[in-house]
Amino acid sequence: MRGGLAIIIYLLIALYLGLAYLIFNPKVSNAYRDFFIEKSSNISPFELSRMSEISLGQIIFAGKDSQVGYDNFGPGGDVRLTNNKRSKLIILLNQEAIQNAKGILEFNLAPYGTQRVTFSLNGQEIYSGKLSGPEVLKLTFPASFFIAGKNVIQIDTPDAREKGNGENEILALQLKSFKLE
Amino acid sequence: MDKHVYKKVTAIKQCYLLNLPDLRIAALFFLANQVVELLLILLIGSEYSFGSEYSYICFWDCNWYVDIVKNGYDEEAHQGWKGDAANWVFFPGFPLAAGAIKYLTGLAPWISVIITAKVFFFFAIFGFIRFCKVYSPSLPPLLAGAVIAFSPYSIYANVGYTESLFLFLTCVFFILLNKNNYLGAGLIGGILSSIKVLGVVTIVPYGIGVIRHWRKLFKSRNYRLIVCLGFLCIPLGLACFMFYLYWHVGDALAFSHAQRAWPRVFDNPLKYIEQGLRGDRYHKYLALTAIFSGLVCIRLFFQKRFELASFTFLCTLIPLTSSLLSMPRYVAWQAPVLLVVAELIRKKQLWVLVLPCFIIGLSYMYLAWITRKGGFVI
Repeated sequence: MRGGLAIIIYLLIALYLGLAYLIFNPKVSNAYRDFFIEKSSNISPFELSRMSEISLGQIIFAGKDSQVGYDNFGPGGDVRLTNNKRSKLIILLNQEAIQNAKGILEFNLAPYGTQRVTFSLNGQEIYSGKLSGPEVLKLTFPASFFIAGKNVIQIDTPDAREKGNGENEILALQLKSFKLE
Repeated sequence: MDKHVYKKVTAIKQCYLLNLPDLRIAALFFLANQVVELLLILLIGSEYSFGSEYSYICFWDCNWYVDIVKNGYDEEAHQGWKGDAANWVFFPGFPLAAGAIKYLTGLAPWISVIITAKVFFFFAIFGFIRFCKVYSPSLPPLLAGAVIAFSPYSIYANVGYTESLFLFLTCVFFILLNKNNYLGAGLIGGILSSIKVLGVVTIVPYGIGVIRHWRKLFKSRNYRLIVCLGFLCIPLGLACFMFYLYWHVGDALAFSHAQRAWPRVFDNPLKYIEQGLRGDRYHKYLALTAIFSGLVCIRLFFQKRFELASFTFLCTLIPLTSSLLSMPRYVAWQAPVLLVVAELIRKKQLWVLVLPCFIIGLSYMYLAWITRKGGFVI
Protein backbone atom coordinates (compact mmCIF):
# COMPACT_ATOMS: atom_id res chain seq x y z
CA MET A 1 0.00 0.00 0.00
CA ARG A 2 2.82 2.33 0.97
CA GLY A 3 4.48 1.94 -2.41
CA GLY A 4 1.21 2.54 -4.23
CA LEU A 5 0.53 5.74 -2.29
CA ALA A 6 4.04 7.01 -2.96
CA ILE A 7 3.64 6.36 -6.70
CA ILE A 8 0.35 8.30 -6.79
CA ILE A 9 1.99 11.19 -4.92
CA TYR A 10 4.90 11.30 -7.38
CA LEU A 11 2.48 11.17 -10.30
CA LEU A 12 0.49 14.09 -8.89
CA ILE A 13 3.67 16.11 -8.34
CA ALA A 14 4.72 15.40 -11.95
CA LEU A 15 1.25 16.45 -13.11
CA TYR A 16 1.49 19.77 -11.29
CA LEU A 17 5.00 20.41 -12.61
CA GLY A 18 3.72 19.74 -16.14
CA LEU A 19 0.87 22.14 -15.54
CA ALA A 20 3.28 24.81 -14.27
CA TYR A 21 5.17 24.49 -17.57
CA LEU A 22 1.95 24.91 -19.58
CA ILE A 23 0.93 27.96 -17.53
CA PHE A 24 4.08 29.78 -18.58
CA ASN A 25 3.95 28.59 -22.19
CA PRO A 26 0.49 29.36 -23.56
CA LYS A 27 -0.17 28.38 -27.17
CA VAL A 28 -2.25 31.37 -28.28
CA SER A 29 -2.44 33.95 -31.05
CA ASN A 30 -0.67 37.30 -30.77
CA ALA A 31 -4.04 39.06 -30.57
CA TYR A 32 -5.06 36.84 -27.63
CA ARG A 33 -1.72 37.35 -25.89
CA ASP A 34 -1.84 41.15 -26.31
CA PHE A 35 -5.43 41.47 -25.10
CA PHE A 36 -5.89 38.78 -22.44
CA ILE A 37 -2.42 38.02 -21.09
CA GLU A 38 -0.26 41.12 -21.45
CA LYS A 39 -3.22 43.52 -21.62
CA SER A 40 -1.21 45.73 -23.97
CA SER A 41 -4.18 46.06 -26.34
CA ASN A 42 -7.74 47.10 -25.70
CA ILE A 43 -9.05 45.59 -28.93
CA SER A 44 -10.26 42.05 -28.31
CA PRO A 45 -9.24 39.26 -30.71
CA PHE A 46 -12.91 39.04 -31.78
CA GLU A 47 -12.99 42.76 -32.65
CA LEU A 48 -9.70 42.41 -34.51
CA SER A 49 -11.08 39.53 -36.53
CA ARG A 50 -14.03 41.70 -37.62
CA MET A 51 -11.88 44.67 -38.64
CA SER A 52 -11.33 45.24 -42.34
CA GLU A 53 -9.86 47.85 -44.66
CA ILE A 54 -11.97 50.97 -45.12
CA SER A 55 -12.31 53.03 -48.29
CA LEU A 56 -11.77 56.72 -48.81
CA GLY A 57 -14.99 58.72 -48.51
CA GLN A 58 -16.79 55.91 -46.69
CA ILE A 59 -18.82 57.19 -43.73
CA ILE A 60 -18.11 55.08 -40.66
CA PHE A 61 -21.00 55.09 -38.18
CA ALA A 62 -19.13 54.67 -34.95
CA GLY A 63 -22.03 53.13 -33.02
CA LYS A 64 -22.62 50.33 -35.51
CA ASP A 65 -19.60 49.82 -37.70
CA SER A 66 -17.27 47.03 -36.65
CA GLN A 67 -14.73 47.57 -39.45
CA VAL A 68 -12.83 49.85 -37.09
CA GLY A 69 -11.14 49.05 -33.76
CA TYR A 70 -12.43 51.09 -30.81
CA ASP A 71 -9.94 51.32 -27.98
CA ASN A 72 -11.33 52.89 -24.78
CA PHE A 73 -14.75 53.46 -26.22
CA GLY A 74 -18.06 52.34 -24.76
CA PRO A 75 -20.49 49.90 -26.36
CA GLY A 76 -22.08 50.96 -29.61
CA GLY A 77 -25.62 52.09 -30.31
CA ASP A 78 -26.61 55.24 -32.15
CA VAL A 79 -23.28 56.76 -31.18
CA ARG A 80 -20.12 55.63 -29.44
CA LEU A 81 -18.74 57.33 -26.33
CA THR A 82 -15.08 57.72 -25.50
CA ASN A 83 -14.38 56.11 -22.16
CA ASN A 84 -11.16 57.49 -20.71
CA LYS A 85 -8.83 60.42 -21.10
CA ARG A 86 -7.22 58.75 -24.10
CA SER A 87 -9.10 56.79 -26.75
CA LYS A 88 -8.01 55.37 -30.06
CA LEU A 89 -9.61 54.52 -33.37
CA ILE A 90 -7.73 51.88 -35.29
CA ILE A 91 -8.32 51.75 -39.03
CA LEU A 92 -6.87 49.59 -41.76
CA LEU A 93 -5.94 51.15 -45.09
CA ASN A 94 -4.58 49.54 -48.22
CA GLN A 95 -1.86 50.87 -50.51
CA GLU A 96 -4.36 52.16 -53.07
CA ALA A 97 -6.17 54.25 -50.43
CA ILE A 98 -2.85 55.72 -49.28
CA GLN A 99 -1.95 56.78 -52.79
CA ASN A 100 -5.29 58.51 -53.38
CA ALA A 101 -5.69 60.07 -49.90
CA LYS A 102 -5.99 63.86 -49.67
CA GLY A 103 -5.26 64.04 -45.95
CA ILE A 104 -8.69 64.88 -44.55
CA LEU A 105 -10.46 63.43 -41.52
CA GLU A 106 -14.02 64.55 -40.82
CA PHE A 107 -15.64 63.80 -37.46
CA ASN A 108 -19.29 64.25 -36.54
CA LEU A 109 -19.15 64.48 -32.77
CA ALA A 110 -20.43 66.14 -29.61
CA PRO A 111 -18.47 66.82 -26.42
CA TYR A 112 -19.66 66.05 -22.91
CA GLY A 113 -19.75 69.63 -21.60
CA THR A 114 -16.71 71.59 -22.72
CA GLN A 115 -13.69 69.48 -23.58
CA ARG A 116 -10.12 70.14 -24.64
CA VAL A 117 -9.36 67.72 -27.43
CA THR A 118 -6.21 66.69 -29.27
CA PHE A 119 -6.28 64.41 -32.31
CA SER A 120 -3.13 62.64 -33.49
CA LEU A 121 -2.70 60.37 -36.47
CA ASN A 122 0.05 57.76 -36.17
CA GLY A 123 1.79 59.86 -33.52
CA GLN A 124 1.52 63.21 -35.41
CA GLU A 125 -0.75 65.87 -33.93
CA ILE A 126 -3.43 66.99 -36.41
CA TYR A 127 -5.75 69.04 -34.17
CA SER A 128 -5.76 70.62 -30.76
CA GLY A 129 -8.61 72.79 -29.49
CA LYS A 130 -11.66 73.16 -27.33
CA LEU A 131 -15.10 71.78 -28.18
CA SER A 132 -18.28 72.89 -26.45
CA GLY A 133 -21.12 71.72 -28.68
CA PRO A 134 -22.01 69.24 -31.43
CA GLU A 135 -20.12 69.90 -34.63
CA VAL A 136 -18.62 68.46 -37.76
CA LEU A 137 -14.88 68.79 -37.34
CA LYS A 138 -12.89 68.72 -40.57
CA LEU A 139 -9.16 68.20 -40.07
CA THR A 140 -6.63 68.58 -42.85
CA PHE A 141 -3.05 67.39 -42.72
CA PRO A 142 -0.38 66.02 -45.07
CA ALA A 143 -1.62 62.83 -46.72
CA SER A 144 1.74 61.24 -45.96
CA PHE A 145 0.60 60.86 -42.33
CA PHE A 146 -1.43 57.85 -43.47
CA ILE A 147 0.41 54.57 -43.70
CA ALA A 148 -0.48 51.30 -45.37
CA GLY A 149 -1.90 48.84 -42.85
CA LYS A 150 -2.79 49.82 -39.29
CA ASN A 151 -3.42 53.53 -38.64
CA VAL A 152 -4.05 54.84 -35.14
CA ILE A 153 -6.13 57.97 -34.53
CA GLN A 154 -5.47 58.96 -30.95
CA ILE A 155 -7.95 61.22 -29.14
CA ASP A 156 -6.70 62.89 -25.96
CA THR A 157 -9.39 64.42 -23.78
CA PRO A 158 -7.82 65.61 -20.49
CA ASP A 159 -11.17 67.00 -19.24
CA ALA A 160 -12.97 63.66 -19.50
CA ARG A 161 -15.01 63.01 -16.37
CA GLU A 162 -17.44 60.63 -14.71
CA LYS A 163 -21.15 61.31 -14.79
CA GLY A 164 -21.18 61.31 -11.00
CA ASN A 165 -24.02 58.81 -10.70
CA GLY A 166 -21.86 55.94 -9.50
CA GLU A 167 -21.11 54.62 -12.99
CA ASN A 168 -17.48 54.17 -13.90
CA GLU A 169 -17.42 55.57 -17.44
CA ILE A 170 -15.08 58.53 -17.95
CA LEU A 171 -16.83 60.47 -20.67
CA ALA A 172 -15.60 63.15 -23.05
CA LEU A 173 -16.88 62.75 -26.61
CA GLN A 174 -19.86 61.29 -28.34
CA LEU A 175 -18.72 60.11 -31.75
CA LYS A 176 -21.49 59.71 -34.30
CA SER A 177 -19.53 59.11 -37.48
CA PHE A 178 -16.32 59.91 -39.30
CA LYS A 179 -14.77 59.59 -42.73
CA LEU A 180 -11.38 60.04 -44.27
CA GLU A 181 -10.37 61.29 -47.66
CA MET B 1 -17.17 -8.88 10.30
CA ASP B 2 -14.39 -8.02 12.69
CA LYS B 3 -15.84 -6.24 15.73
CA HIS B 4 -13.42 -3.35 15.47
CA VAL B 5 -14.15 -2.81 11.78
CA TYR B 6 -17.91 -3.09 12.39
CA LYS B 7 -17.69 -0.42 15.10
CA LYS B 8 -15.75 1.84 12.77
CA VAL B 9 -18.22 1.41 9.91
CA THR B 10 -21.15 2.09 12.22
CA ALA B 11 -19.46 5.18 13.60
CA ILE B 12 -18.74 6.51 10.13
CA LYS B 13 -22.35 5.97 9.06
CA GLN B 14 -23.64 7.70 12.16
CA CYS B 15 -21.23 10.59 11.94
CA TYR B 16 -21.22 11.46 8.29
CA LEU B 17 -24.07 10.14 6.29
CA LEU B 18 -27.10 8.09 7.09
CA ASN B 19 -28.74 10.10 9.78
CA LEU B 20 -32.43 9.73 9.10
CA PRO B 21 -33.78 12.34 11.54
CA ASP B 22 -31.49 14.98 9.99
CA LEU B 23 -32.49 13.87 6.49
CA ARG B 24 -36.13 14.34 7.48
CA ILE B 25 -35.43 17.82 8.83
CA ALA B 26 -33.55 18.69 5.64
CA ALA B 27 -36.45 17.42 3.53
CA LEU B 28 -38.90 19.44 5.61
CA PHE B 29 -36.96 22.68 5.19
CA PHE B 30 -36.27 22.04 1.54
CA LEU B 31 -39.98 21.56 0.89
CA ALA B 32 -40.82 24.64 2.96
CA ASN B 33 -38.35 26.65 0.88
CA GLN B 34 -39.87 25.33 -2.34
CA VAL B 35 -43.38 26.28 -1.18
CA VAL B 36 -42.19 29.80 -0.29
CA GLU B 37 -40.49 30.05 -3.70
CA LEU B 38 -43.59 28.85 -5.52
CA LEU B 39 -45.78 31.36 -3.71
CA LEU B 40 -43.38 34.21 -4.39
CA ILE B 41 -43.07 33.32 -8.05
CA LEU B 42 -46.81 33.04 -8.49
CA LEU B 43 -47.34 36.31 -6.66
CA ILE B 44 -44.57 38.34 -8.28
CA GLY B 45 -44.72 36.57 -11.67
CA SER B 46 -48.44 37.24 -12.04
CA GLU B 47 -47.97 40.85 -10.93
CA TYR B 48 -45.45 41.33 -13.73
CA SER B 49 -47.44 39.31 -16.28
CA PHE B 50 -45.02 36.42 -16.68
CA GLY B 51 -47.97 33.99 -16.56
CA SER B 52 -46.90 30.35 -16.57
CA GLU B 53 -43.50 31.17 -18.10
CA TYR B 54 -40.81 30.03 -15.68
CA SER B 55 -37.62 30.20 -17.74
CA TYR B 56 -37.17 33.88 -16.79
CA ILE B 57 -35.93 32.58 -13.45
CA CYS B 58 -32.72 31.42 -15.19
CA PHE B 59 -30.71 34.60 -15.59
CA TRP B 60 -27.16 35.98 -15.29
CA ASP B 61 -24.76 33.18 -14.25
CA CYS B 62 -27.48 30.58 -14.85
CA ASN B 63 -27.45 31.49 -18.55
CA TRP B 64 -23.70 30.97 -18.69
CA TYR B 65 -24.08 27.49 -17.17
CA VAL B 66 -26.85 26.70 -19.64
CA ASP B 67 -24.52 27.79 -22.44
CA ILE B 68 -21.84 25.38 -21.16
CA VAL B 69 -24.33 22.52 -20.83
CA LYS B 70 -25.66 23.18 -24.34
CA ASN B 71 -22.52 24.05 -26.29
CA GLY B 72 -19.56 23.20 -24.07
CA TYR B 73 -16.75 25.67 -23.48
CA ASP B 74 -16.13 28.42 -26.03
CA GLU B 75 -13.22 27.89 -28.40
CA GLU B 76 -12.62 31.63 -28.43
CA ALA B 77 -14.01 34.65 -26.63
CA HIS B 78 -16.88 36.09 -28.65
CA GLN B 79 -19.61 37.12 -26.22
CA GLY B 80 -20.41 40.56 -24.82
CA TRP B 81 -20.35 43.79 -26.77
CA LYS B 82 -16.57 43.73 -27.15
CA GLY B 83 -16.53 40.04 -27.95
CA ASP B 84 -14.12 39.53 -25.07
CA ALA B 85 -16.37 37.46 -22.78
CA ALA B 86 -16.13 33.68 -22.72
CA ASN B 87 -17.65 30.99 -20.54
CA TRP B 88 -14.20 29.85 -19.40
CA VAL B 89 -14.58 31.82 -16.17
CA PHE B 90 -17.29 29.37 -15.05
CA PHE B 91 -15.80 26.22 -13.56
CA PRO B 92 -16.93 22.82 -14.85
CA GLY B 93 -18.07 21.02 -11.67
CA PHE B 94 -21.60 22.41 -11.62
CA PRO B 95 -22.31 22.34 -15.39
CA LEU B 96 -20.98 18.76 -15.49
CA ALA B 97 -23.53 17.76 -12.84
CA ALA B 98 -26.26 19.64 -14.74
CA GLY B 99 -25.16 17.97 -17.97
CA ALA B 100 -25.48 14.56 -16.29
CA ILE B 101 -29.02 15.42 -15.16
CA LYS B 102 -29.87 16.61 -18.67
CA TYR B 103 -28.49 13.38 -20.11
CA LEU B 104 -30.37 11.18 -17.62
CA THR B 105 -33.71 12.99 -17.77
CA GLY B 106 -33.76 14.45 -21.26
CA LEU B 107 -34.86 17.80 -19.83
CA ALA B 108 -34.04 21.14 -21.44
CA PRO B 109 -30.62 22.51 -20.41
CA TRP B 110 -32.02 25.44 -18.43
CA ILE B 111 -34.35 23.18 -16.42
CA SER B 112 -31.47 20.76 -15.80
CA VAL B 113 -29.34 23.59 -14.44
CA ILE B 114 -32.14 24.77 -12.12
CA ILE B 115 -32.95 21.24 -10.94
CA THR B 116 -29.28 20.48 -10.28
CA ALA B 117 -29.01 23.55 -8.05
CA LYS B 118 -32.21 22.54 -6.24
CA VAL B 119 -31.10 18.92 -5.71
CA PHE B 120 -27.84 20.10 -4.22
CA PHE B 121 -29.77 22.60 -2.11
CA PHE B 122 -31.49 19.70 -0.38
CA PHE B 123 -28.09 18.09 0.21
CA ALA B 124 -26.66 21.43 1.31
CA ILE B 125 -29.35 21.77 4.00
CA PHE B 126 -28.64 18.24 5.18
CA GLY B 127 -24.88 18.76 4.99
CA PHE B 128 -25.12 22.00 6.92
CA ILE B 129 -27.18 20.38 9.69
CA ARG B 130 -24.53 17.64 9.96
CA PHE B 131 -21.77 20.27 9.84
CA CYS B 132 -23.42 22.11 12.76
CA LYS B 133 -23.69 18.84 14.72
CA VAL B 134 -19.93 18.43 14.39
CA TYR B 135 -18.80 22.02 14.99
CA SER B 136 -21.57 23.22 17.34
CA PRO B 137 -23.27 20.12 18.78
CA SER B 138 -25.66 22.06 21.00
CA LEU B 139 -27.17 23.94 18.06
CA PRO B 140 -30.68 22.61 17.33
CA PRO B 141 -30.87 21.03 13.84
CA LEU B 142 -34.16 22.84 13.24
CA LEU B 143 -32.46 26.19 13.67
CA ALA B 144 -29.55 25.16 11.44
CA GLY B 145 -31.98 24.05 8.74
CA ALA B 146 -34.05 27.23 9.03
CA VAL B 147 -31.02 29.51 8.72
CA ILE B 148 -30.02 28.06 5.38
CA ALA B 149 -33.51 27.38 3.99
CA PHE B 150 -34.93 30.84 4.70
CA SER B 151 -31.83 32.95 4.24
CA PRO B 152 -32.57 35.78 1.79
CA TYR B 153 -29.69 34.44 -0.28
CA SER B 154 -31.22 30.97 -0.55
CA ILE B 155 -32.62 32.34 -3.83
CA TYR B 156 -29.38 31.28 -5.54
CA ALA B 157 -30.21 27.66 -4.84
CA ASN B 158 -33.35 28.01 -6.94
CA VAL B 159 -32.08 30.02 -9.89
CA GLY B 160 -29.39 27.76 -11.28
CA TYR B 161 -26.31 28.99 -9.46
CA THR B 162 -23.44 26.87 -8.18
CA GLU B 163 -23.65 27.97 -4.55
CA SER B 164 -25.71 25.05 -3.21
CA LEU B 165 -23.29 22.45 -4.59
CA PHE B 166 -20.35 24.40 -3.21
CA LEU B 167 -21.92 24.72 0.25
CA PHE B 168 -22.85 21.04 0.38
CA LEU B 169 -19.32 19.94 -0.45
CA THR B 170 -17.78 22.52 1.88
CA CYS B 171 -19.82 21.03 4.75
CA VAL B 172 -18.70 17.51 3.82
CA PHE B 173 -15.10 18.70 3.58
CA PHE B 174 -15.13 20.23 7.06
CA ILE B 175 -16.88 17.21 8.60
CA LEU B 176 -14.27 14.87 7.14
CA LEU B 177 -11.48 17.18 8.23
CA ASN B 178 -12.87 17.27 11.76
CA LYS B 179 -12.94 13.46 11.80
CA ASN B 180 -9.30 13.39 10.62
CA ASN B 181 -10.34 11.70 7.37
CA TYR B 182 -7.67 13.48 5.37
CA LEU B 183 -7.90 11.49 2.17
CA GLY B 184 -11.67 11.98 2.07
CA ALA B 185 -11.30 15.70 2.81
CA GLY B 186 -8.63 16.00 0.11
CA LEU B 187 -10.82 14.30 -2.48
CA ILE B 188 -13.78 16.52 -1.63
CA GLY B 189 -11.42 19.54 -1.76
CA GLY B 190 -10.45 18.34 -5.25
CA ILE B 191 -14.09 18.42 -6.34
CA LEU B 192 -14.54 21.82 -4.70
CA SER B 193 -11.66 23.20 -6.73
CA SER B 194 -13.49 22.12 -9.90
CA ILE B 195 -16.56 24.13 -8.88
CA LYS B 196 -15.06 27.50 -8.03
CA VAL B 197 -11.53 28.81 -7.82
CA LEU B 198 -12.28 29.45 -4.13
CA GLY B 199 -12.45 25.68 -3.68
CA VAL B 200 -8.65 25.64 -3.74
CA VAL B 201 -8.51 27.64 -0.51
CA THR B 202 -9.61 24.51 1.38
CA ILE B 203 -5.91 23.71 1.24
CA VAL B 204 -5.41 26.21 4.09
CA PRO B 205 -7.92 24.74 6.58
CA TYR B 206 -6.60 21.32 5.55
CA GLY B 207 -3.07 22.42 6.43
CA ILE B 208 -4.25 23.87 9.74
CA GLY B 209 -6.07 20.62 10.54
CA VAL B 210 -2.88 18.67 9.84
CA ILE B 211 -0.76 20.99 11.97
CA ARG B 212 -3.23 20.65 14.86
CA HIS B 213 -2.83 16.88 14.89
CA TRP B 214 0.68 16.56 13.58
CA ARG B 215 1.98 14.61 16.60
CA LYS B 216 -0.64 11.93 16.08
CA LEU B 217 -0.42 11.97 12.33
CA PHE B 218 3.29 11.73 11.90
CA LYS B 219 3.75 8.63 14.01
CA SER B 220 2.87 6.37 11.10
CA ARG B 221 4.50 6.63 7.68
CA ASN B 222 1.33 5.37 6.01
CA TYR B 223 -0.66 8.12 7.60
CA ARG B 224 1.91 10.70 6.55
CA LEU B 225 1.55 9.53 2.95
CA ILE B 226 -2.23 9.68 3.16
CA VAL B 227 -2.11 13.23 4.53
CA CYS B 228 0.28 14.19 1.74
CA LEU B 229 -1.94 12.56 -0.88
CA GLY B 230 -5.03 14.34 0.47
CA PHE B 231 -3.16 17.64 0.28
CA LEU B 232 -2.16 17.04 -3.34
CA CYS B 233 -5.72 16.04 -4.28
CA ILE B 234 -7.16 19.46 -3.38
CA PRO B 235 -5.94 21.41 -6.45
CA LEU B 236 -6.65 18.44 -8.74
CA GLY B 237 -10.06 19.68 -9.91
CA LEU B 238 -8.62 23.04 -10.87
CA ALA B 239 -5.60 21.35 -12.48
CA CYS B 240 -7.85 19.15 -14.66
CA PHE B 241 -9.80 22.24 -15.77
CA MET B 242 -6.55 24.03 -16.57
CA PHE B 243 -5.29 21.09 -18.64
CA TYR B 244 -8.59 21.09 -20.49
CA LEU B 245 -8.36 24.84 -21.16
CA TYR B 246 -4.82 24.46 -22.46
CA TRP B 247 -5.95 21.72 -24.81
CA HIS B 248 -9.13 23.61 -25.85
CA VAL B 249 -7.98 27.24 -25.91
CA GLY B 250 -4.19 27.08 -25.63
CA ASP B 251 -4.11 28.95 -22.33
CA ALA B 252 -4.25 27.12 -18.99
CA LEU B 253 -5.13 30.38 -17.24
CA ALA B 254 -7.93 31.29 -19.65
CA PHE B 255 -10.44 31.16 -16.77
CA SER B 256 -8.54 33.98 -15.09
CA HIS B 257 -7.58 35.97 -18.21
CA ALA B 258 -11.19 35.99 -19.43
CA GLN B 259 -12.14 37.93 -16.30
CA ARG B 260 -11.05 40.95 -18.31
CA ALA B 261 -14.56 41.12 -19.75
CA TRP B 262 -16.02 41.64 -16.28
CA PRO B 263 -15.65 44.91 -14.38
CA ARG B 264 -13.14 43.58 -11.86
CA VAL B 265 -9.78 45.22 -11.18
CA PHE B 266 -7.20 43.77 -8.80
CA ASP B 267 -6.64 46.28 -6.00
CA ASN B 268 -6.35 46.78 -2.25
CA PRO B 269 -9.42 45.22 -0.54
CA LEU B 270 -9.40 47.93 2.13
CA LYS B 271 -9.68 50.51 -0.63
CA TYR B 272 -12.77 48.78 -1.95
CA ILE B 273 -14.32 48.72 1.53
CA GLU B 274 -13.53 52.40 2.06
CA GLN B 275 -15.00 53.32 -1.34
CA GLY B 276 -18.07 51.24 -0.56
CA LEU B 277 -18.62 52.96 2.77
CA ARG B 278 -18.36 56.36 1.06
CA GLY B 279 -20.70 55.32 -1.75
CA ASP B 280 -24.46 55.08 -2.05
CA ARG B 281 -26.66 52.79 0.08
CA TYR B 282 -26.12 49.82 -2.18
CA HIS B 283 -22.32 50.09 -1.99
CA LYS B 284 -22.48 50.68 1.76
CA TYR B 285 -24.45 47.47 2.06
CA LEU B 286 -21.83 45.55 0.06
CA ALA B 287 -19.02 46.97 2.20
CA LEU B 288 -20.88 46.16 5.42
CA THR B 289 -21.33 42.57 4.26
CA ALA B 290 -17.56 42.26 3.83
CA ILE B 291 -17.02 43.80 7.26
CA PHE B 292 -19.53 41.39 8.78
CA SER B 293 -17.59 38.50 7.27
CA GLY B 294 -14.42 39.94 8.82
CA LEU B 295 -16.10 40.03 12.22
CA VAL B 296 -17.17 36.41 11.77
CA CYS B 297 -13.52 35.53 11.09
CA ILE B 298 -12.43 37.29 14.27
CA ARG B 299 -15.06 35.48 16.33
CA LEU B 300 -14.06 32.11 14.86
CA PHE B 301 -10.40 32.90 15.44
CA PHE B 302 -10.91 33.71 19.12
CA GLN B 303 -12.96 30.53 19.46
CA LYS B 304 -9.87 28.72 18.12
CA ARG B 305 -11.83 27.39 15.14
CA PHE B 306 -8.87 28.23 12.95
CA GLU B 307 -9.89 25.98 10.05
CA LEU B 308 -13.25 27.74 9.71
CA ALA B 309 -11.78 31.20 10.29
CA SER B 310 -9.13 30.76 7.60
CA PHE B 311 -11.69 29.51 5.07
CA THR B 312 -14.03 32.44 5.63
CA PHE B 313 -11.15 34.90 5.63
CA LEU B 314 -9.85 33.71 2.26
CA CYS B 315 -13.27 33.24 0.67
CA THR B 316 -14.03 36.87 1.49
CA LEU B 317 -10.61 38.37 0.85
CA ILE B 318 -10.03 36.87 -2.60
CA PRO B 319 -13.20 38.28 -4.23
CA LEU B 320 -12.69 41.51 -2.31
CA THR B 321 -9.34 42.11 -4.03
CA SER B 322 -11.19 42.64 -7.30
CA SER B 323 -14.39 44.47 -6.29
CA LEU B 324 -17.36 44.47 -3.93
CA LEU B 325 -19.52 42.99 -6.67
CA SER B 326 -21.61 39.98 -5.49
CA MET B 327 -20.07 40.19 -2.01
CA PRO B 328 -23.28 39.18 -0.15
CA ARG B 329 -23.52 36.01 -2.25
CA TYR B 330 -19.92 35.09 -1.51
CA VAL B 331 -20.41 35.68 2.22
CA ALA B 332 -23.89 34.24 2.75
CA TRP B 333 -23.06 30.86 1.22
CA GLN B 334 -20.09 30.07 3.44
CA ALA B 335 -20.75 27.30 5.95
CA PRO B 336 -18.74 29.00 8.76
CA VAL B 337 -20.68 32.27 8.29
CA LEU B 338 -24.03 30.46 8.40
CA LEU B 339 -22.85 28.58 11.50
CA VAL B 340 -22.02 31.81 13.31
CA VAL B 341 -25.35 33.36 12.25
CA ALA B 342 -27.19 30.33 13.65
CA GLU B 343 -25.21 30.54 16.90
CA LEU B 344 -25.90 34.25 17.26
CA ILE B 345 -29.63 34.14 16.63
CA ARG B 346 -29.98 31.21 18.97
CA LYS B 347 -29.02 33.51 21.85
CA LYS B 348 -31.97 35.06 23.68
CA GLN B 349 -34.35 33.49 21.15
CA LEU B 350 -33.32 36.12 18.60
CA TRP B 351 -34.39 33.75 15.83
CA VAL B 352 -38.02 34.66 16.59
CA LEU B 353 -37.26 38.11 15.19
CA VAL B 354 -34.61 37.21 12.65
CA LEU B 355 -36.29 34.37 10.75
CA PRO B 356 -39.36 36.44 9.74
CA CYS B 357 -36.94 39.16 8.60
CA PHE B 358 -35.14 36.51 6.55
CA ILE B 359 -38.38 35.58 4.78
CA ILE B 360 -39.16 39.24 4.08
CA GLY B 361 -35.61 39.60 2.73
CA LEU B 362 -36.07 36.50 0.58
CA SER B 363 -39.30 37.94 -0.87
CA TYR B 364 -37.47 41.15 -1.70
CA MET B 365 -34.70 39.18 -3.37
CA TYR B 366 -37.23 37.39 -5.57
CA LEU B 367 -38.85 40.69 -6.45
CA ALA B 368 -35.47 42.15 -7.42
CA TRP B 369 -34.52 39.00 -9.32
CA ILE B 370 -37.71 38.69 -11.30
CA THR B 371 -38.02 42.38 -12.11
CA ARG B 372 -34.23 42.65 -12.73
CA LYS B 373 -34.27 45.81 -10.64
CA GLY B 374 -31.34 45.48 -8.33
CA GLY B 375 -27.72 44.79 -9.14
CA PHE B 376 -27.33 43.30 -5.68
CA VAL B 377 -28.94 40.04 -6.74
CA ILE B 378 -26.27 39.24 -9.35
